[in-house]
Amino acid sequence: MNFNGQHLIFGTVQFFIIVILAPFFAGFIHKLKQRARGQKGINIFQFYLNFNKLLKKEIVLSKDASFVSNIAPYIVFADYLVILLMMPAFYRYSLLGVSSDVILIAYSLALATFFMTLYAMDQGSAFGGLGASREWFLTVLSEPSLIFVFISLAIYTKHGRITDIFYFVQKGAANAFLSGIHSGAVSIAIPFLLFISLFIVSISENARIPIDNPETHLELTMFHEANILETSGKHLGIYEYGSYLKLTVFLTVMSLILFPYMAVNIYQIPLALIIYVLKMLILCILIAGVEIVNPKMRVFRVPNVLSVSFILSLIAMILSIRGF
Amino acid sequence: MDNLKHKGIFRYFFNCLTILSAGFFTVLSIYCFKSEFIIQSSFIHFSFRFNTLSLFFVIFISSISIFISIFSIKYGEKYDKKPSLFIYSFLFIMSMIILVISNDMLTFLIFWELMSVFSFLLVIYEGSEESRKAGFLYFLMTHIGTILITAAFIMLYLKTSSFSFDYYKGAAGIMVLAAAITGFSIKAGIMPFHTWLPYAHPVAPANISAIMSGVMVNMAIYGILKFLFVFSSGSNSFLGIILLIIGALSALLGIMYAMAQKDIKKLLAFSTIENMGIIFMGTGISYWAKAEDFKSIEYLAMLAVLLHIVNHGLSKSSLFMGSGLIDKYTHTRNMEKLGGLSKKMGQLSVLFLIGIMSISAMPPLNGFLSEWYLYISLIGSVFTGNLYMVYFSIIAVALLSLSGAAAGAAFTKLFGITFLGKPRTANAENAVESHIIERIGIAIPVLLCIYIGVYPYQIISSLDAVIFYLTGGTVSANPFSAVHVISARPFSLYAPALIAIAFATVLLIALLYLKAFSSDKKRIFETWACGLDEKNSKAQYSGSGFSSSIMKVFSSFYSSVSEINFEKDVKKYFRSKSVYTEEVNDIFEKYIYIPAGKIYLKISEIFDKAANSANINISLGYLFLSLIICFIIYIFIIR
Repeated sequence: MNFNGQHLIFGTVQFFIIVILAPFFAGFIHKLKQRARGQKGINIFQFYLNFNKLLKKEIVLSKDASFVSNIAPYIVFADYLVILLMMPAFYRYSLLGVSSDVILIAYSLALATFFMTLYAMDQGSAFGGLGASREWFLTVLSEPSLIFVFISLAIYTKHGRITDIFYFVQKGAANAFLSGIHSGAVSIAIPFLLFISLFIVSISENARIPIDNPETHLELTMFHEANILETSGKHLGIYEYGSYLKLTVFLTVMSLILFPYMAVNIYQIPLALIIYVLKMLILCILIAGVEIVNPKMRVFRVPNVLSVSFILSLIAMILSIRGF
Repeated sequence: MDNLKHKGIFRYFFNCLTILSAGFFTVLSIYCFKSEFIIQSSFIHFSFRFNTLSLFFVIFISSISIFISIFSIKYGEKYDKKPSLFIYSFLFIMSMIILVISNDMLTFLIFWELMSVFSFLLVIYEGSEESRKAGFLYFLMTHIGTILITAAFIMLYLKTSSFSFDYYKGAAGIMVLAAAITGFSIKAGIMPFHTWLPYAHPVAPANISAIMSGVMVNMAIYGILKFLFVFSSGSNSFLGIILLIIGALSALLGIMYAMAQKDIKKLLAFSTIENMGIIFMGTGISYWAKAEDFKSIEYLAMLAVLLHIVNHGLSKSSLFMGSGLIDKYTHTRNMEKLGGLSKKMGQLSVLFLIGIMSISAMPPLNGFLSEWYLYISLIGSVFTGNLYMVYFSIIAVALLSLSGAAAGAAFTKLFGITFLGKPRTANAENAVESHIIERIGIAIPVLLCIYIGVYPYQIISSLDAVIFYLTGGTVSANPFSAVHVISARPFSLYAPALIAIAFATVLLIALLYLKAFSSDKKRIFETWACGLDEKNSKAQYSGSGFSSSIMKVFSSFYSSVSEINFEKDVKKYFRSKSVYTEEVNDIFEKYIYIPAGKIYLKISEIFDKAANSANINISLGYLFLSLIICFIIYIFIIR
């Protein structure tokens, strides 16, 4: 991949647009959920205001906290930003597209979990340890599915970089659309299975309802919230923003599997951006729907759900191997 | 003599001697590259050759030994009363260095045996009941391994009628390889043969554990590479698949057991099993690809193996040294009794954190780099379309990703419970920062971890020579050359330097933004404890609590026994005392080793009764019988 001024500029633009849009998507899901429950609901831009307010507040640190508490929020945040730098969303060339390996992305997500759980344990509170333990419990179960989803995509497209993967998927889909499904090596089953698998993983990784409920602070139900229970002020703001970014990463990958359309030159960018936002909103509605319909499930039933996701990605991988 | 011991003369002398001799051997192996030495007298014949593979291992052993010796200059002071430690450890390191440059089978076996004996003496050094038991198990297992390795060499000798390694190229058939790999697997602690490792590595003094876990297990990998890539005669591709699967199972089970441990050093020892499993996986893929003639995968997997040897050696030795310092300054290795050490041992905790990030494969550190190459070679072997390899590499990817995530959990537990939170006992409360020399010994490998992680191109281009020696090809890696897996088309690229720069830039921008738009006010206050005014530091999450939910899901891997004992108390909810014990047993130990040991004891009891009877006629009968058996062997087998 050659470096090109245009790619650099629009890759940066793409990055900033995703980062700025992230709280909006989270807010949209929240608003939908509240309306469905018959509540009036928050302002759809409430999470921006929250972030701004939290930045103005003072940080209250535990007296048991060590250096880890002072660096962990920033490392987690920067880690999600680096992952977003690799992600293509509506423009084919992301800023770190050269090195956007899928395994790197999966392990970078684990790095964020690592520092968030260390932060949780740093305060000496029993809740922190509980949250860290549960977070790793989920990660251990969902990491294989996530890596399988990514590797299935890599095997399906014979590319290892996420930008190339979705460019290939896009080309295949366009070919199939223009000249019929039999024309090339394009599969409907593989993206479909991977979408469902990734959907389950996103729900568990992003602390969504059947698995976790971030709106409560009841120790029995906390996963993600228990990790950041002691956080306040600027740190809390960063963690919250980080969780929106993580949600956006997962939704973006899903949106690209669902409808692969990225601009390959600058003239397509406006259309691609509109389509991207529409896709994301549809996915937000889907996630909100799942959250409204389902009750929270018992912790030890979560492995069953995640193993379904694993099996689906395994089937997708076997299907993608059949290609050669 | 006592006065000398008191001043630590032995400690200074032998550690400096180790540093000097390790440096000497490094320089020697570079200057005498590709030349051969023979030491011959009336009854011994030692032959040495400095080839590329041994050069790599000499530099590896020497550099890690030098770091550990710097560390032990100060750390060893508590062993001054019994200075045999320093003598043995010097001899141990020297025997390993000479082992890798030896060029005939007798030299190899002699120094292999010397290495085993000195490490055995170091395992039983503390003299406690626990260390003697561990030492016995180690001695037994390692000699079973040596028997198999010797058998492999004898088979090679019968075939080539030469002792020299020069004649063994392409001579080893499948039986030789099987015997050698089994023998070396015992030394490497691969899963069915691993039982000795979690006992022997923790009981030795920490600097010795660091050498054993960081360096000695890799001698087995040296032997396996030598047999599979130099001595191997032809294509036994299924052997590669077996190595891959055994390695993947070791990786998973090793880290799963690591997660269950309370003892810091035992956790690290199980993590060694995991990493040896990862190295075996790479070796298996590389050997399979060699047999099936998929060149690029062979080189990539070999790069993963060699890089992982280096990465694991650096991070594991630094973590073992760190655990030694924890032991020295808090007098316990049980993480349930520690906590809050990051406030008392600030610099050590930073070094330990980086070591942990490296070993649990967090990008952009070096541990991730070698795992990434392994993933890429696994994906590449799926692309080959070879029926068996496709299935087994998918299984291996699944096990590797599971063990990768579990490693994160296990090491979060290690760091979180030991270094973070509140001190759980007075031991942890009274910890003090370690001595500067001890920290320097840890800091050098940790800094190398960061350097290799962020800018690996230099070390990869040096490793290319070793890869060329073993496989006949090289991996070209520079910051922007993508990895080619099977065709000429670039498959993927991981540019660590780019990622690190991006990380730093993004962090800087975020910090500048926050500096401009957020308040800097900070207040230190106590942790919220649901309004209770309790100062009980035991109320924190415990280490076994941390791993219990994961262990519950994977309960089929463990055979754990947990028990809660209440005092006989009428009040049901306000008990004055309750005792919880949990014991996690190794399934292999419980279902294979202990029954096998019992059967062995029973059989030997029968023989004991039969042989030790006082009747002289029966003894004469045995004598006669054994003569007849020897005669039959002579007639039918040897002639």
